[in-house]
Amino acid sequence: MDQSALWAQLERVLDPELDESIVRLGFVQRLEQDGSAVRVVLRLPTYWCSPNFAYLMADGVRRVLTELPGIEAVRVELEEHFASEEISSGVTSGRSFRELFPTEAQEELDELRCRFLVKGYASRLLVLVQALRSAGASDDELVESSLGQLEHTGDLAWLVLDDRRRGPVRGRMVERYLVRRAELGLPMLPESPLLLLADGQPITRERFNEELRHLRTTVINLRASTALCEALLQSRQQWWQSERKEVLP
Amino acid sequence: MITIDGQEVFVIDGHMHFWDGSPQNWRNQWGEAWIKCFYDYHLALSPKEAVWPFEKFMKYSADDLVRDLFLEGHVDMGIFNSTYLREFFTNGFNTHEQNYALVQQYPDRFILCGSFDPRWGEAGFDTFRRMVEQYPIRGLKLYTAEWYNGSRGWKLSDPMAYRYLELCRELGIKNIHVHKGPTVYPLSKDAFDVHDIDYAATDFPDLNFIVEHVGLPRLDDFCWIAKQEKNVYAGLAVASAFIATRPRYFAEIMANLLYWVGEDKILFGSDYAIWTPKWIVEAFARFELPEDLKQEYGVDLTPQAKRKILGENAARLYGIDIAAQKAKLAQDPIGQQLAAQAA
Repeated sequence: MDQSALWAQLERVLDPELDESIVRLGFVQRLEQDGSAVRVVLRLPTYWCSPNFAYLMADGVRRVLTELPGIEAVRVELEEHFASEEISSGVTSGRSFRELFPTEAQEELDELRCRFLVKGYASRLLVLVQALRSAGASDDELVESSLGQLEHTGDLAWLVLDDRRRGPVRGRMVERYLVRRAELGLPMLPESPLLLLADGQPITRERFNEELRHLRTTVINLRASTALCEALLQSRQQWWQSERKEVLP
Repeated sequence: MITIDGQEVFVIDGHMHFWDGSPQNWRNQWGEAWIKCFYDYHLALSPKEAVWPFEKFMKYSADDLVRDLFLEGHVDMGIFNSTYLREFFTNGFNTHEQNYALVQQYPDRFILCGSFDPRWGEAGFDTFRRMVEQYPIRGLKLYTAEWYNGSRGWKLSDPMAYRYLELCRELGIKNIHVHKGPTVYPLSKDAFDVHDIDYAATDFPDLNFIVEHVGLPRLDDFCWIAKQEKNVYAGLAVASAFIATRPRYFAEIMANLLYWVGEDKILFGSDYAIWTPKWIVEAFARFELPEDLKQEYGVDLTPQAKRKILGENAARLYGIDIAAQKAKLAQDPIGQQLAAQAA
């Protein structure tokens, strides 16, 4: 099989906290295929990255790859993590997080995952609002528009008003918003409001600026964390490089 | 010494350490992994000229600390955020006992934090009392992600934690620094959560809770809590280190804190020796919020706000009269050395 199909699938696995693909974040160290068996090596920004998130990512890798026809066994190895062994062997054998950490894991991971889906949604919503605003949409237009007024063409999208349209904005941005909105089970009908908060409430004109400020705080947190994780992962590579030097003549 | 608008600023480093992360002190692989992870933080955000070799980073001397903070780092006083990690380090990582050696030498330069762990149970009450009696403990540093006897974390809202907070009242300890920062282990039961602070702050309105690392990577949750609770403060350690290599993020974090928390409730911290304070303090003194953020949030990082954040807020929490303290510090060995340097 062409490895690009495998990479494309891996692209779909997100760091739940950073709401970004593990491929883009550089967490995938190795991808090897041998017939119907695949081996993926993951390395996270720190040795201490929370095991629940580590599990979600490792398990996500297993799930998306086994979706592919012809792939029967997926071995996921989490490198240099304090719970490497539990997570690697647990995920490869398809065990749940609670089975792996029976005394410590109390909350279901779904709940945690959901909390971060909501934060990611906030980020995607804000990005959309900011893009449409800088493409000329007024705050009134944004709160009054419905989903059906979004129009995609190729990689571009517009907000269509009665007599004109606002845009273009990047299609991927709109796509990310819509995908997550559907994942959260929010209304997706053409007549549903364009802008919905994660609890399903529309953003009113009166609360527009305040809601935006809330969204911004969530987003700056997410971006700062992403910047930190990327920098940590980068400096983390030094330990392997120096170890390799010691091994090589 | 650093000046802002021509005026001398009194600087309290609200978060610093004197640790021993050397291999001799590693109890097991966790000790090694711990100090390496710290070093990654150091490399990730330090400007090139402030990067240390790993050898020095594992264990630095008292002379290094005095130079990096007071002689070169513009800091007047430091708050020892004692961190124990006895399950990773044979003698602990930087316990109050270790820090006390420096406190004894320069009593006016440091505020010493002790700690409690609710998992000590009632048997620990005496240990805690003794700590406060035997050492000049003025604040506490709590570390809810610490491993202990198979448990890998606790919450400030646990009933036994409340018993200890009551004991703090009795012993006259008012300032509680709580590590709520980058993820270290905590499993799903309390991962990514700063909400236990909310309960404790409401139930102990006479205590101050300084949330170290402003909850990053949970800045947003922290902001909502700090806005509601008068006695919740923002400790800038880690966030402050963004200032050199990620100034835009630093600006956005500051704009958020100024808006939600306010300039009276933010405390500077370098997290020394993860980062040295010199470059952070210098950059902070010069730092201006970008115009778009000022507009959007309606806040500004004025010279007055900077002075509060760098020292006045911490001084208020710890009952330090800055003028009197400065006079005292001018006379101590470090003050004399500084005077000699300036001459």
